[in-house]
Amino acid sequence: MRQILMSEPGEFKIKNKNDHVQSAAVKMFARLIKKAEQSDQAEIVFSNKAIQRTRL
Amino acid sequence: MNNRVVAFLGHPALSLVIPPLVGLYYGTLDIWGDDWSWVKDKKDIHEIIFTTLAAFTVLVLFIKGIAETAKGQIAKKYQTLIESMILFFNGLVKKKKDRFSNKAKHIKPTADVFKLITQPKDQLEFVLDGLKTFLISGFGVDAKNIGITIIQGEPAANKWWYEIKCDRQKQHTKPKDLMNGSSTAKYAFDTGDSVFIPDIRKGAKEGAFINSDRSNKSEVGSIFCKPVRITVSEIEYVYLFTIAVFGQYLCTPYDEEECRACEKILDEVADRVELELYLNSIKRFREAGGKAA
Repeated sequence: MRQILMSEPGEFKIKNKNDHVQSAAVKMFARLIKKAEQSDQAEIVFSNKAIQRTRL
Repeated sequence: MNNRVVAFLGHPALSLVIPPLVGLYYGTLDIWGDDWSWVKDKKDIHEIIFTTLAAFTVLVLFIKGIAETAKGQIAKKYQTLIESMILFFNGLVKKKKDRFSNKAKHIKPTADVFKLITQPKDQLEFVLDGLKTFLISGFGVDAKNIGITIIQGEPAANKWWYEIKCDRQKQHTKPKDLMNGSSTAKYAFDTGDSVFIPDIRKGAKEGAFINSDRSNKSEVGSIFCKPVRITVSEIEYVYLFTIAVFGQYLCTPYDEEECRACEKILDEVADRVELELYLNSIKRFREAGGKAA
C-alpha cells in the first residue's frame, strides 16, 4: 500500500505560487507511466490523518 | 487550464467556424442590409446578434491564443520531464552495462562472478546521484534543497545508520534520533507503507515528520519515504529510502491529482532503488556468511 498524507485546502498558508505548467506536465507524465504499466496492484490511500501505529 | 470551458473555447473547430460565420453575417448585413426586408426591418435584433458574435469571436481567439501558449509551455516541460527520466534510467543501465562489459573481458572460469559484477553500493550511489539530477532538471528543484538518504538498521537492537547519503557533506539528523522520534522514516517503518507528504507541516502536525534545523529554517517542503524489508534466507534487512525537499514543494500540496502524479513518479524511482537494495542485501548476506549485518 502507498500513502499520501495531504493537507486540506486552506489548512496551511501556501507561500509558493502554484506552477500550473509544472503541475500539468507532471500529471501528463504520471499518466504516461501508468499507461506503460501492465498492472499496478498497489493500493493508494489518501488521507489527511496519520495512521494509528503501535510503537515497536 | 484543462477545464471544460477552456477546452470548449479552445477547440479548433470553434476558431475555424466562428470567424468566417461572423464575416459572412457582416457581409450579408453590409451588402444586402438595405435590400432584404428580414434585415432592414429588424436592425435592432441584428445589431445585438452581430455585437454578441463579434465579442464572442474576439473572446474565442483570445482564449485560443492563451491556451496555445500554455499548451506549448506544458509540452516543453513535459518533454523536459520525459528526457530527464529517460536520461536517469538510461544512465543506470549504462553504468551496469559498462561494468559487466569490463568485468567480462577479464573473467576467469573459477571466478566468483556474483561478487565481481554485483556492486550494489556503487550502483545505489549512482542511482541517488541520478535521482538528484532528475529532480533538478525535471522538477526544477534547487540542488541545495534536496536530501536523499537510505537508512539501514537492526530494529531489534535499535541500531540505525546511514547506508548511503546523496550528499556526504550535508548534516543529517542522526538516524537513531529519527527512528526513535516522530519522523517520516519511523512512520513509514511502523505502517510498512511508503508515504508521500507534499507539505511537511502536515507531517509535523500528524506526528509523521520531525523538524530539523534545516526544515525549521526552510519552513516548507515535501518528503517521500519508502520502507524496504528484504528477507534473505531467514535474515531480514531493513532500509528506509527517503527523498526530502526543503525550501520548496515538489508539487502543489492541496492539488490531489498533482500529488498523486508526483507520488507515482517517486514510487517509480523508488522501485529502482529497491531493486538495488535486494542485491545489496544478498551480497551482505553472502559476505557475512549468512549472519546478520
